[in-house]
Formats: sequence, C-alpha cells, structure tokens
Amino acid sequence: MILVLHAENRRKYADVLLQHYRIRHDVYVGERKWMKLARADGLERDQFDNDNALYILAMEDNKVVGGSRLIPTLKPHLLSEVFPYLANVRGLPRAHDIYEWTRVHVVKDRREGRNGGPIAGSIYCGILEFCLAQGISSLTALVEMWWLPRFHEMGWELRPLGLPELIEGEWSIAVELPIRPEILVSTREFFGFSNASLMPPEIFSPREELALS
Amino acid sequence: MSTTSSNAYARRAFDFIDAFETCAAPATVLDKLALALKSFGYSSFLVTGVPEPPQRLEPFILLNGWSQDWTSHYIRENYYLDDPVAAHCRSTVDPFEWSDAPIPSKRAAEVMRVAQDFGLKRGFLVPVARTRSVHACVTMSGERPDFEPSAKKAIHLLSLFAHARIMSLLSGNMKPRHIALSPREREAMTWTAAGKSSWEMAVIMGITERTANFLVARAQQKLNAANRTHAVVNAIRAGEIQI
Repeated sequence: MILVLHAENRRKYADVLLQHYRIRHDVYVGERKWMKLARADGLERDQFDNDNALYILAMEDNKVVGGSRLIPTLKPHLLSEVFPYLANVRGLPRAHDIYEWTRVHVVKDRREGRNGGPIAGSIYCGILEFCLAQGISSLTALVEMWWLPRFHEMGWELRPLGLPELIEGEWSIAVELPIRPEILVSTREFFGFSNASLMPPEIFSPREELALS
Repeated sequence: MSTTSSNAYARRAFDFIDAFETCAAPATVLDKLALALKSFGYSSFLVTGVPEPPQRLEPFILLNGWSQDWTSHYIRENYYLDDPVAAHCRSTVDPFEWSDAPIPSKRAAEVMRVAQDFGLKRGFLVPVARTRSVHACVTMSGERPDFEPSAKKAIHLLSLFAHARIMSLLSGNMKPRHIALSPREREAMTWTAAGKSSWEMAVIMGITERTANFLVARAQQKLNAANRTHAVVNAIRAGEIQI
C-alpha cells in the first residue's frame, strides 16, 4: 500500500522518512553511483527535501520498499534550478496544480520482471490516484529516454519539453504528463491491478491541506 | 556548419509527434514517418522487433520502408543472423550510427558491404526497449543524412513516439485485448516462438506430440492467426508471451 507523507504528517512518520532517505542512498549512491549525492550519514537528501516535498511511499508491514517524490513547481525544483535548459523549447510548466516528479525507485530485492513488478506498479498507480484526488493536473519530470517506451506501454501521453540531452551518461529528457483518469485505468491494466494502491486515509479531500490553491 | 538551430530541430520533432497522434492506421504512420525521416535526409527505414537469432526477423517487422529489392535479398540471404547493426541494437538502449556497430565477422562485414551496394550508404538506429515483447528499433538510411547532434536528438525522440503510436494502433486492432491463452497454450506459444517443433515441445513439456499440436492449434485459433508464425506475432503483440 502507498502512504503519502506531507508537511502535516511527516513528524508522525519521522522514522518512515528516515528509512526512505536511507533507501535512496542505497539505490542512487550504492547502486547507480550518482556520487554527487553521497553523504556520510548514509541518508540521501538534497535541497528539495524540505517541507514542500511530498513523498509517495510503498509500505509493506511498516517497512518502506520503494517510493517517489513530488515537489510543487511554484517552489524551486530540479528542472527549475538545475536543468532549466532541458525545457528550453516548450518552456517549463509551473502552476499551483503542477508538481515535479523525481526519485522513483524500488528496493533491490522487490524489483521483478521487465515492467518493474507490483511494487513499482503500486507507486505509479499511487501517484496517479493521489494526483486525481488532489486535483493535480499534470506532472513534470526528468526521465531517461529508454523509459519512454515503458511509459507509452502504460498508456501515458507524454509531452516533451525539449530535446534529449546526455545527463550522467544517460540520454534524458524533460517531459510533462497530463493527469487523466484514463491513464490510471491503463496503468492498472498494465500491472493487472483491480484495486486502489493508495491507503484510504491518504485520499484526503480538502485541498487546503496541501495549500494547493 | 549547421544552418538549422537546435530549437528548429526540436519543433520539427514535436510537429511530427503531434502528427503521429492523429494517425488512425499503421499505414498512415508509415507515410508520416517517411516524411519525417526524409526531412533529415533518410530515404528508407524499418520499424521492427529485434529477436535473438536464430529467430528470424520477418515476423517481427512492424513497418517496412526498405526497398523491395533489399528486403528480398536480406531475407533470402538470412542476413539477420549476422547483421552487426541488429546485433549492436540488441545490446544497447542508446541510438547509434550504423558505422559505430562493431563488425565481429567476415559475414557481418559482407552484410554491410552489400547494404552499400543496395544504396543503404549511411544509417542511424534508435533502439526501443520494451517490457512486454522483444526489444525493437527504428533503423534508417540515406545517402547524406543530417548527422548534426540536434538532428540525431530529434530523430531519437520522434522515433520512440512513432513506434509507440504503431504499437498502440496494432494493439487496438487486436481488441478484445484479453485473448487469455491458457497457461499451457501460452507455454506452447513460447516454445513455438523459440523455434521448437511440436515434437521438441512435446519432449520439453512432457506431453504427446498430438497434444502439443492441439495446444498450438487452439492458441492459433484464439489469436486469430493463419499459421504458427502469425500466431507468435499476435501473441507477442497481445502481451500473451514475452521473449
């Protein structure tokens, strides 16, 4: 199940957030060797892990097994601060209902098959469910080009914001993903899910809770 | 010197991506893709799955924009077995110029030499890494293609979207999408895709040859296919089997 951490509940789940940072260090520094992210305390955090960040975490028996991060695009975020040139053709979409999606990962021993497996699927579906529930109209993201066919397979209609560029040795591109109910349906179908991935209490309805407006 | 700015290349790619989205049939994508690649100096191309040899290429071809002559010769000589460009494609997710593919054998060198004779002078290939079927690619050739870095980036991008559009149109044509082979039919199709005969399949699966034939025939019927090869293609497209 997917748990969403935000400014209001992150103190209650402080230990969960620590697990998440530790896993990110294992994945991004340990496995993918993004050495710029290495930290002595073994917790991978950057300048965007502040009170504006939302964490979409895959939980199993109170253990974190994967996750992802959303940052409001009206605040400083990766594409606005580090890679603005990647969106130099269409321009970087920024609005109160547009979030940037970064750091999607699954712990090593829970990745399965070529589509990433059910944990990966629950993270994708959880994000889409969360966006639909919160009225988030689109996500922006920096993605590796070889992921595009996978997103296409899930029925996602991606809008490139610029040309691909080499980043850390990988062809990568900035894209916008408009959120529509149809892509949640096709993503669930892709992973063979029939139920929601988000933990019910996290589908909170008052939009003020995230100060979206 | 480049006369086209990188922004203009990007716009051109975006326009073609939008055009692919309006295509209602694979043949229309073929026309649009031909137009797109022509604007970068490519006169012919192929959109295809790239199975591991000794599997043959033909069942995996999605859109054929090669000349009839080259296609016939390539198939007759079974060049796919030794095609160094196809081999390199199966080992990378990054686009490359054909001339950057390692030439591991005399026969591989022959494939490239004869391609030249057929007018495929210089080429570029964009790999497409998929989860539900074999990896695929959009590969293209021309006399004097535009090898500007920005041109390559634009082609990288538009190729992935063209492939996605074709796949989505093909899977749409396969509806109802839930063909639902039984586990044994699926296993039989997987062995068929791997080039096994009914007898070999029978030995592997511990069943009689008669049963193996029966499983394949039933899968073929469910997949609305005329023969085994056609059934394998449809099974892959429908996501029933993975190779």
